[in-house]
Amino acid sequence: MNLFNIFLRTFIFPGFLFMLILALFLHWLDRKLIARFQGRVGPPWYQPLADLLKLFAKEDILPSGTNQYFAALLPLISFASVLTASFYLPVAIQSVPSFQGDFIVLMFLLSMPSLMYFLAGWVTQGVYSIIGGNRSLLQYFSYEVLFLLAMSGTAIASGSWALSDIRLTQIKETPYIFPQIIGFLLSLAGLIGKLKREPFDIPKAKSEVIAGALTEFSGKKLALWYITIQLQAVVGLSFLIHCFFSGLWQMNTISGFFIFLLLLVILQCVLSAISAIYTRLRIDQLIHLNWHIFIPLTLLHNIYILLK
Amino acid sequence: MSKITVPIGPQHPLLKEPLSFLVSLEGEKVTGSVLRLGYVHRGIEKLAEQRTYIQNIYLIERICGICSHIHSTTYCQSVEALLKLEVPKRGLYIRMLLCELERIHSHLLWLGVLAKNIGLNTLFMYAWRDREIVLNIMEEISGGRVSHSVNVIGGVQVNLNESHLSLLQQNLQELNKRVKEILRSIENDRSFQARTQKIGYLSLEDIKRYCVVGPVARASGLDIDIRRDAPYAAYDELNFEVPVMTEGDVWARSILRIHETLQAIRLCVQIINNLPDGPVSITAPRRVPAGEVASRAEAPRGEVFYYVRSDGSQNPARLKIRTPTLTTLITLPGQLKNMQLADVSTIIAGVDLCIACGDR
Amino acid sequence: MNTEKAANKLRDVLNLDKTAIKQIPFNEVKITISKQQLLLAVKTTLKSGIWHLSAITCQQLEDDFILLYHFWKSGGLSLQIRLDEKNPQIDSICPLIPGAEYYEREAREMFGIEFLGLPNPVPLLLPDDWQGGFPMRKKEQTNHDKSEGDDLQQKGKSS
Repeated sequence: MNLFNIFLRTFIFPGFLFMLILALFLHWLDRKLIARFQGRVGPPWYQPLADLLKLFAKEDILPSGTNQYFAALLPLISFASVLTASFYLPVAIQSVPSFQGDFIVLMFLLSMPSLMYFLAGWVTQGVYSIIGGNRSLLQYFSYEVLFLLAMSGTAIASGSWALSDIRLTQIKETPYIFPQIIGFLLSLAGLIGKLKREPFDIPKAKSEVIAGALTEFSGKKLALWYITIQLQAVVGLSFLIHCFFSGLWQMNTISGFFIFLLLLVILQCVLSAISAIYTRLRIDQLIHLNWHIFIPLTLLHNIYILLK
Repeated sequence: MSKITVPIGPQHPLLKEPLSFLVSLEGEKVTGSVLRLGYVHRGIEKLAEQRTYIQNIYLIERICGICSHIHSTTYCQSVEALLKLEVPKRGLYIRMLLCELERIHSHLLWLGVLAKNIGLNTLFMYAWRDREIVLNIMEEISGGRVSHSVNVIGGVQVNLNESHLSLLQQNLQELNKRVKEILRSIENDRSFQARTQKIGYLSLEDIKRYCVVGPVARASGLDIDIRRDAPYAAYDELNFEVPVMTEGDVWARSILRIHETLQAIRLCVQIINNLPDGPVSITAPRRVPAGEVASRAEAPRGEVFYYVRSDGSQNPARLKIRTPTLTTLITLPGQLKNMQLADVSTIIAGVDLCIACGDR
Repeated sequence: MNTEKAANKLRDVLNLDKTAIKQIPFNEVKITISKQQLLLAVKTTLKSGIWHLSAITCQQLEDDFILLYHFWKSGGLSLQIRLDEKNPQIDSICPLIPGAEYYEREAREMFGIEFLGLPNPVPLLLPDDWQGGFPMRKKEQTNHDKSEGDDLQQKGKSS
């Protein structure tokens, strides 16, 4: 692979530029769908891009006493980790050769933004930021565990922690969506909790804590947070598709790429529908739901897979 | 456990109007709260003493946006009692029609605000979309969507013709269907119940001690309604029910207000079916004789009380207004004790505050 | 017990003259009592089953203060008390009716009436650093020196 190829793959497709466009597209789709569910028209296709550009143009100001260096570092680390995570996912072309344990590496990289979110609340030291940060930490400890456990069902079934092996086993046998439908639904719930989407968006509930941990951010830093959240959604959904639907398309083909995009759009529709229907849950109801219902189900499911 | 004081207000996405609430938290639990009013205090009672009776109508309408018609109705009926005027029946019916339309508008607006505060944005959009029907009707009748200015001393200054009546018939049927749909969808919704049941409980004893009025009192089991118990305008000629519930929490208040909206629609239909003929107002003399009068009416939030004293001059000697929001505000610190921070927004939305009314 | 009977009972308990009871519009019975009789009158009213206090109105009539306690139970019952201008003090009824707190606080900040035993004597509507005296008293005038109504009526007549 020569330098030009590497440059193309890293920055254009399926690298940064493609990922950014996909993130903005999926965000627009989410907003449009929720608007349609609510009887409204919804934003035009360029709205997320316009929001991003507008944020770059705004004044970047933080409360006095905030550690400026640290506050600038947090969104950069989140952005960098999510983009790195996107490399490990085969979209249509195998970008990075898979290795044993890259499943765990991907999990770790995807969980970095949530941790940085909590630290962002702590570093800006506002009342709303601290409350939002504390809530997000509670949610982080619960729903990251759920996501990891539910997705591990696929790794256990394929007998290895390498993403390429998970894919190969699905091509050989059947896509894991069919035997592991419960695991799929639970990992979807885990993803909603991870992304802090409605109905699990209590850390950033507008009517209580204004904007949660990000209340004091503005300008370029907020633009980075904004795009990180969208990218986290794309990478999370792609991860889900890779682990559960892999056998349905072929790598390195145009048709495979479009089937992947179609699956992404369908899953986004499901997420938007869930966001529009349910009320936001309180933090104690959230934790109760996770530890009393979701985790036991996941454990039972994993034990069943292990025994099979 | 960390102790934090969260300032809710004067500006907060949760509040429609400025109000200062300092909520002390320990972890997520509320340990105390301090309430401070007065951010929208305009000195209406003092201003009213320096304006004539007719100028005061325009002042009183602007106490509050959502309850403007009921304020001017109560004021006009007080002055008409001092003048010993009898308003023609058609005028009274049109006044009642706008009172009930305002009640529907206020309850749909409140439903949207409650839904937004607990995170159910879909219900917020639906309730405010249906509110547009009522605003269009009010605009057709009076020319203004929110501030109508139809009352004069001696009656009303708008009349309803055939096209208004047919528009009302059609739209009220549509509205009835939609409100029933909303009731059906949230009455059994588990996530809505999880956020609103057993939150902000007020017992019947508390209601009586604090002299609470309105839907908050009716949701805890107190059966009072000025329209039925001390009828004003022509309410003694109409049939309606007063819904009462006993659970006393935010859920009971929500369901109760939707039932009240359905009853208000039923009243509007009766009014337009039985609208009497005749003039809509009677000329009132300029000078009000000396005397005093205490009148009450049922605003969307409860009993509104006016006391007017005249000493024979062209300005009132005293105009005292007591709005229903003051009675519910006094119960808020008690309701918030030992609740979680997430419930604070539910409770504040559930009592339906109208701070502009409370501050005057 | 309705308000007519309650008014009669009050007259018996407090030994009032027949002229102390008046009827004013919208079914309201107004009873004039002295300020020492206030607590006994409120207790009797509560015992008669009338517990809803609509409002406490304060006004100035020839420099003396007049307090009106408006009760309601299908009909109105108002207790009128006259306070001397030099000594505007009266017992607070908050121990009997906690809901009266906001009305007494407002009367206190707007007219300067001292309620003995008021649990939370801070201003209700005026700012914490208000220096302008008692706004609702007759002596205080707003910037509105004369009523604009005079001007408008003159203009209406001439045009």
